[in-house]
Order: sequence, then C-alpha cells, then structure tokens
Amino acid sequence: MITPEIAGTLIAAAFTLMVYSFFYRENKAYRFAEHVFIGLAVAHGAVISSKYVWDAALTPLITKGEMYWILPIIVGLLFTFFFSKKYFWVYRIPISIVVGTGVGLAMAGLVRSQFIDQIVQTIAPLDPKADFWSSGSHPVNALLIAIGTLGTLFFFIFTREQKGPLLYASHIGRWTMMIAFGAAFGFTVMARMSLLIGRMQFLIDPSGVAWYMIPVAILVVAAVAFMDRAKGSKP
Amino acid sequence: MMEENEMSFFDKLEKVDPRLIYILVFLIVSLPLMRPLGLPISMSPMTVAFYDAVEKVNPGDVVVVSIDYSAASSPEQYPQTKAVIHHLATKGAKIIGLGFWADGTPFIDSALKDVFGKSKDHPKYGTDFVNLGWIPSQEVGMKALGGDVQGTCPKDYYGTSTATIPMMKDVKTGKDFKMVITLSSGTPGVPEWIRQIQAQYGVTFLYGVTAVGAPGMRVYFPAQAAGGLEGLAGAAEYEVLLIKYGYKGTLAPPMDSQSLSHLLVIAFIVLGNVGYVLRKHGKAK
Repeated sequence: MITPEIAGTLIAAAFTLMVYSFFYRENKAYRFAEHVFIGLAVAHGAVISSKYVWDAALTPLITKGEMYWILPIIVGLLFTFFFSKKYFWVYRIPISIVVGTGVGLAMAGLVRSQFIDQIVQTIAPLDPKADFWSSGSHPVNALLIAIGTLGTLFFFIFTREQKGPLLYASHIGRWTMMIAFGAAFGFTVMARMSLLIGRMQFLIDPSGVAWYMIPVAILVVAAVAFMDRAKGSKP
Repeated sequence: MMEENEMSFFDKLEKVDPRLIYILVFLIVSLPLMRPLGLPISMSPMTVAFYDAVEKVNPGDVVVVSIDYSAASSPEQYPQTKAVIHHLATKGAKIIGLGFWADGTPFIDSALKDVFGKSKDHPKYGTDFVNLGWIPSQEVGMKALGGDVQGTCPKDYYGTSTATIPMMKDVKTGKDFKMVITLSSGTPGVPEWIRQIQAQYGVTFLYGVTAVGAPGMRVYFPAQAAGGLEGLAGAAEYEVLLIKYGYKGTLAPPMDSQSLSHLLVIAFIVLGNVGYVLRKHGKAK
C-alpha cells in the first residue's frame, strides 16, 4: 500500500539521487531536478507572499475601509512593469523605494552595531581571569587581536609604498587573513559534509523507504556508463 | 629510481578520476551512519555559552525563535531548531516562532510538531507557543516587527488573528522580547537581527548558523550575541548538553561521519601538498 507519505519519500529520494547524478556527469535528470526545485521555491514564495499581502493589506482595506493601504498596493503593482519594454522605467520607482528604505534602515543600525560596537569590543579592557579559549578579553587573545587587526589594516594601505616597517606590518596582516581564510575554508568543508550527511541519513535510513531508490539509481548510472563506453565517448 | 617511482605515483594521483574521490567520500560518510563508531563529541565554548544563556530564561519569558534558513541548509539547522525549541519548552518560555525566509516557514510548523507532538491543535498553542509564520521585506520587516508586532503579523501561520491569541496580548514591541534566537544561513540573519532588534532594544541575542557562516559571526560574541551554535557540530554539542532534560538527539552517528570525512579531506590536502613539494623538488633537480 503506497501511502502519500511513502510516495513523498520515494519522490524526494529520486530527486536527491537525480541531483547527485551530476557527480557522474551533467545530465537531463539533474537538470530536471534543478528546474523543479527552482520552480517549487518560486511557487511557494509567490503563494505565501500573496497570502501575506491579502492578510496585511487587502483584508483591512476591504473589511475595515483602511484606505491608506491603497498606496503600498499600487507601489507593489508597479513591479509588474518589469515585463514591459516600453514602460520599464516605471519599475524603477518601487525598486528605488525598496532600496532606499533598506539602505537607510541598514545604515542607521550598522554604524552602531557593526562599526562602533566592534571597535569598542576590539579595545575592551583586559581580563586576566577570562577564559583563554573563548574570550577576547584574555591578555594573550587581546594582544593577538590587536596585532592581527592593525596588521590587516596596514595591508590595505595603498597610498604609500609598502617597504620597511610598513612591509612587515602588512606581512602580519597577510598572515592574519590567511589564517582567517583557512578557518573559513575548514568551516565550509564542515558545512558541505553536513549537507551530504543529511541527505545520506535520509537515503540509507533502514526504517524508511528512501533506500529503495538507491539500486534503481545505480542501475541507471551503470546503464548510462555502459552506453557511453559502447559509443566510445568519454563521460 | 625510487624517486622516479614516487614522482609517477603523484603524477598519476593528480590525474585520478574525481568520481573515485566522490565514491570514497560517499562511503566514508555512509558507513558510520550504518555502524556508528561512538567517537567523543567535544564541547565548544560558543555552544556552552548558548546553553547557559537559555538556562537563564525564566518561565513566562517571551522568546522569539526565527527560522531564517531554507531547505538547502536544513540538515545542519533543523536539528538546531528542534533542540532549541525543546530547551525553551523545558524552561517554560513563551515561544514565538516566525521567519524571514519564505522557504523556511514550513520548518517552524515541523519543529513545533516534533517537539510538542502537535502545532495549532495542541492545547497549549496560543498560550505557550505560537507560529507567526513568514514576515516579508527582510530587514525592513525586522524593523517593523520591533516597532509593532501585531501590526507586522496580523495573523498567525494558520490564519488566526494575532490580537486574539492569549500569549500575544502583552507582546506589542521589541521591548517585550526577553530573548531572540535566530537560526540563520544568510541574509536576512544575524547582522540584521543585531542591527534592528538587539542594538535597538537591548534584547539577549543568540544565533545558530551553518558552519560556513560561523567564522563571520564570532565577532559578535560575547558583547552582541551571548552564544552561538555553529553548524552540525554545534547542534550535536547542544544535544549532549540537553541529555539531562531527556532530549534524545540524533546527531552522534552523523558526527562520526563528519569526523571521518574531515580526516579524509585532511589526508587529501596532505597528499596534495606532499605531491606538490616532491614535484617541485624533482623539477629543481
């Protein structure tokens, strides 16, 4: 008996394997899965966006007569001029409103939270009792932060030739950044592996049915590989 | 002669079919999932700080849990979500689930069902927890939420008027939040919450992020963010800390896979560098 849950799991497993078929080579199954994913994401976004507009703007406009909602609704409708070659310029009006509002709001908070507060934290008072492994206030960590921050700032001084002390400071900055990039790379590997682990957990869960699709996928890839060899083409 | 053999080995290795490496990675990841090794899980200070901050929540405190990720990062972040909601529920917090990512909205409902058994049909829905669903306009939406919660979310995820939900009656602005926890994998996410809510209202702020985003978020700890969960490892560590509350985690086998896959990557990096040095040395000679 194939219940909707089982059917859903099998479809999800099939799509997962279609995406992973890219590891063999670019193919139509992969592209189909990719397009379906994008289509679903856009459709889901469109449905819940329109539901929000209905709840937040149209309902009070219609049921309570709150006429001021007409203005944002009209601004929203102006986005549709994106599809008009003749009146494309109208589309720039809502874009400018959205960008202007977004940048204005972001800048207001950004100066305090990501500029002033960050500087304050960088020059925070030392605390010899602070935990060495987690606190930037520990004297050793504070010294490393100070050297790394100043070195990195010196690296980006382009108005003066980098020689002498400036060159040494800039080298410290380069090493600091390389260590930071290395940490970022390590975390990226961890994240990518986590995604693979998540999918593998789903696929090989013995209590589920997703693993039924694995032999099917192996057979399909083997058949394609065999046909590739028969044609003499290198996959 | 020996050196020639070594060089040819590394030359061959450089030209190896990448699909063999993919198969190796698939095997390394899959085997511990089928037969867990039980490798120890160490504790990061970020996770401990996160746990300690949630421990300070008192019964009745309003805590916002924002699901700011999509399906793409759910393997890392959904375990974080479940563990966070479970911990908050054990502390008696009033949980407001919401999200600024349209694709992430279904995860709020799933997590509530996984932790409480039901979501909107649960007898405590509306008194102990609520799902306000998706809020549009990214950072502008966050600003609006802080200024007027009920105006920004006129209805909950299931269509009920927010004004009629008992636990929302006293939640008017960002000042009424005791804590905000974002589980985020991009924009809008941690910096936006800090800019629009943490900095404006002085709310205790915590985050759970994907491992990719973790290094960039550490700058906010401890002054602006009281703690953070970093990727699958952070979620696994948090699960270990929640054992005392009877939380049954699922991340021990995946962490075995994670550790082994990292060893494999390290081996590839060492092998690649040894090959590079040997080839360079050979050419110099």
